[in-house]
Amino acid sequence: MRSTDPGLLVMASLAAGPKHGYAITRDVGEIAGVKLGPGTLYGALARLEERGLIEPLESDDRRRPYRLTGSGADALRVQLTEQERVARIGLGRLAATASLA
Amino acid sequence: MSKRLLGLYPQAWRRRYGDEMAALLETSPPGPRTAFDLLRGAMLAHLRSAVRATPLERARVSVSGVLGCFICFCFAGSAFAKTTEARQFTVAGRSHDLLGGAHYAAVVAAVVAAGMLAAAAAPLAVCAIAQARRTHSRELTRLIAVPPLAALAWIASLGGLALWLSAHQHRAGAVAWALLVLSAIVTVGAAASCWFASRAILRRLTLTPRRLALPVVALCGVTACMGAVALATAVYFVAILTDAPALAASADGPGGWSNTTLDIALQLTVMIVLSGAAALSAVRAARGLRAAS
Repeated sequence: MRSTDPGLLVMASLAAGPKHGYAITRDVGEIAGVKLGPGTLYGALARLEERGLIEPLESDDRRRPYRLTGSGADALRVQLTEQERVARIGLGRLAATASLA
Repeated sequence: MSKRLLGLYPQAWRRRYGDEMAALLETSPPGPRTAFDLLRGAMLAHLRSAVRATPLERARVSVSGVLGCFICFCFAGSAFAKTTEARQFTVAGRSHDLLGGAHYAAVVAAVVAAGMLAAAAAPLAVCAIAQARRTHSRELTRLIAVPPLAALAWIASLGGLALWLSAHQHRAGAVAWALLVLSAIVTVGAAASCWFASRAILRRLTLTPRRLALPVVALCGVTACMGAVALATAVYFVAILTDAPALAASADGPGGWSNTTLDIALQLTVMIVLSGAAALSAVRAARGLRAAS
């Protein structure tokens, strides 16, 4: 999963608590500088919901909020840990190359 | 504009996410980027629903796919008939067996295809009317009324054009051109309405695999006839180039802006592409039906 993968960004946003579509778009814009279009956002929400990683909450409003499920939180943790490991190794290698030069 | 693009999403998707997306669109600035994002999303949603559809759903979608190909094929076939309607083509057909035979074969295959299409449509139409009466569904009744109304509009536009031309000794003029353009628009509109209505009816019908069996078999026949028309047109194309090169090079189209070779080549290409697409849809429909049975 890429760090700009809409699914990962949506899950990272929902890690802070339940949000509806507009709030997710704003939050993703702030944390990753990525503007998710409505088609991309709901494509990601549909995929994540189907895989049981997020779930919709009841709402009287048209703007239905979503939250991370337990397996969604686990999947997000695994993905971010993996990305963190890769980032740490990559940055370490860059630093080593810079010191040799 | 953006909200209209939501209509491009699959029906099930719109039922589930339509309101939420509409609410989101009210807060996001409309623009080409949003429009493109929605178009892309709609396309992916259709692909996803096609992959995840049940075999019977796949069969239904494929049936409307064959129908869509056939409707477009009719335009190419009509264009071929129009290109080769002049007397010199009939004379050439009588002088050259291959040319005349290929033209005759194309016409016969087209007539058989139309008959098979009627055989495919009849049980579905009966089923749709029965369901509309049973459920008192106004929506289904309106959809059922679309194809006959579209056909009436088409006949009226062609009839109007023919009457005008015969009353004015087939002289080209501004009114004749306007009627021709109007008739072309009505023809395309009627064809598109028929396809959209039949697609919508198919989606709403409560169908068992058994009820869909005859239409699928008949549509396989329609597809085979489309292939036969394309083959006969290909033979005609080769025959006219070899047997009647002067006729092949003759001017064609309104005002003679095109030529016969180019036009038949274009018509043939469209026929081959649509026959291939229809064959793929027919195979998909047959497979879906077999899996559902």
